[in-house]
Amino acid sequence: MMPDARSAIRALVEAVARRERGDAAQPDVALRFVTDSLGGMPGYLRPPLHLATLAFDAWPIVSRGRPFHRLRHEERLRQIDAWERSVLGPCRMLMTLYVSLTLFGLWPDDQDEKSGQQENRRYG
Amino acid sequence: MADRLRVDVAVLGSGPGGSVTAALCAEAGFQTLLLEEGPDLPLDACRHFSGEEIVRKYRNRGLSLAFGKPSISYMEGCCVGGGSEVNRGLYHRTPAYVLDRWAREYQVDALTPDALAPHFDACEARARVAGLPGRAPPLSQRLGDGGAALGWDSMQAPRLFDYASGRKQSMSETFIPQFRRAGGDLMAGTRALRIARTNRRWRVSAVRDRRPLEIEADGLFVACGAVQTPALLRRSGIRHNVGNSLRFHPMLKAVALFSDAVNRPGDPDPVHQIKAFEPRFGIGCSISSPALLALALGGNPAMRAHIAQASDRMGLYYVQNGSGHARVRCLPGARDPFVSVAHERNELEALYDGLRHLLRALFAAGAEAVQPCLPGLPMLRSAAEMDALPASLPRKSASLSSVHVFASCPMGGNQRITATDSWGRVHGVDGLRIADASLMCGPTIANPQGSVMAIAHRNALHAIERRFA
Ligand SMILES: Cc1cc2nc3c(=O)[nH]c(=O)nc-3n(C[C@H](O)[C@H](O)[C@H](O)COP(=O)(O)OP(=O)(O)OC[C@H]3O[C@@H](n4cnc5c(N)ncnc54)[C@H](O)[C@@H]3O)c2cc1C
Repeated sequence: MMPDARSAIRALVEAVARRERGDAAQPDVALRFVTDSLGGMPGYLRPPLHLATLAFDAWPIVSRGRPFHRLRHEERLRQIDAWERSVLGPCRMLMTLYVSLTLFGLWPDDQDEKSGQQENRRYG
Repeated sequence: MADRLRVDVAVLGSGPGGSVTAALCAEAGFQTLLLEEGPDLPLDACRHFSGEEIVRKYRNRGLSLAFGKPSISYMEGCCVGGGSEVNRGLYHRTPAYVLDRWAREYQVDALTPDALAPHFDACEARARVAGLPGRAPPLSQRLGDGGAALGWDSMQAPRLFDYASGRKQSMSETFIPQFRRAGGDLMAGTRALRIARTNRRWRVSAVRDRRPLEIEADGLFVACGAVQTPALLRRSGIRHNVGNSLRFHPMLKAVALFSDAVNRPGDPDPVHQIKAFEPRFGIGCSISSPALLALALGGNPAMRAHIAQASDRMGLYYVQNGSGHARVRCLPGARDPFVSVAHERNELEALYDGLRHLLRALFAAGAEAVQPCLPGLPMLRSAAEMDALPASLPRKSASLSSVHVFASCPMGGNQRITATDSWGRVHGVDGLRIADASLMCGPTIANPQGSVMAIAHRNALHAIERRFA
């Protein structure tokens, strides 16, 4: 089973979504925000990010015989947690990027009445 | 074959600096072209601070990073109107002590508060600046109350906002319509790639809808913002003090949980700021939507767990200062410049001290719990628990963010440290001017857009008087 960056991102977003919001999670909305955002990042960051994502997906192959995107939910959470706490800066940075984008994407705008451009006129 | 255009004046970039400049040139009767890389979208094309807005109106969809220890993630607008479309429009004139310092160290001529006042007046007459009518929303008021309990003065920042219509006074609502009425041409979705001087004219090589475009102009203003302006100049071979001194207002954040609702749907934007400690650090309040709370609390699960049930009791606050000295460099073959940042220890420590002040103010305001937004730091239940915090900023895990960038091509008579003269004319290059936040000589300490507009106004009039020589 080969590592695959797109599947890894989807699996990561789904795991974070379920951890954070349980049944209320809309992982597809968050995933769209994550992939849209990544599409705009500076070009020179894309190859290293792609490689780091592949490494993340490949990480459990040795110990579990499967890439991250094939792990069960609890196993995924354990790996995310381990990478978030890693002593290696790039591992932490990778998690910060994906987890932050997912967290933002998990609270879509239609639930957020405060984000209208035209502010409510309750100025009292 | 490239499409060709010939104009009197070209202005590259339609943020506050570019829009003010272009409007004045068009009104003075010059055939003026305003070029903008991003799309032309109305102010309310997307909800403010929404994911859609970030994707459609921000440069790099919000993912721009200055690499350092710690790195700074910074935001810029990329649409007609630039940062003014996506910002909150909090407004201040440049503090007198800041101007005084710039005049002394950078030898900027005629940049006193008195000399700049008519330019502020003129900009404020076109883009309305107003204080919040009535009482500030509770999230904002709490910061003021907390500061007051500790004896720290706070103020309510005015905004570029028309409270009668409920519309922000962004460039697309103010200077750009005026520019168009004066006969100016706006070309959105068009990116300037290089500039060159040939036959006493400026030639801009640009790309629009993947087609090359060549523009010839007698006068040229570069106003692409504090990161893209030095990138464009350096790509074009103009490098003297260009891109060596980019500065930020990096922020650290904290979330407070109160016992009653402070963050009600429909409340106006919070406006309180504690300025008593500036320039060492300044404190303010942020938009506190669930998405922004979640983003800020990325490394703090205990406080994040409250969002689903209690986001109406939560407020997001920040402390910022001028830490970070950055360089902008072009990488061969890459579209985006590389930005690296170094910090001075005392500036970072001042910022961390500011965070401690912010935490104290939030407890003094009655917060039940306060979370400093740094990964791994505990959620605090009282000011006494602040003793458990690390003695200095944990550089490895700290994540700084900034929405203010400036000072990458500072102006002034001191040629050793400046890129342009006191009026934005690039040293040693005929007829080329910079007209954006790049020109600031350092952090503005106050919110910068007012300074960018007033200085652009001053320099554009100077250029028009001299017919762009
Ligand atoms: C989220 C956010 C909140 C903020 N809040 C406040 C606030 O409350 N108060 C305040 O005073 N300031 C605030 N700011 C900062 C303020 O918006 C900026 O200081 C101001 O917009 C800077 O103006 P500028 O003209 O220098 O550049 P910008 O506004 O960055 O405009 C530059 C424009 O040039 C375009 N451009 C870049 N490269 C090219 C190219 N090669 N060809 C063509 N076009 C190009 C860009 O797309 C952009 O539209 C905020 C900024 C952000 C991002």
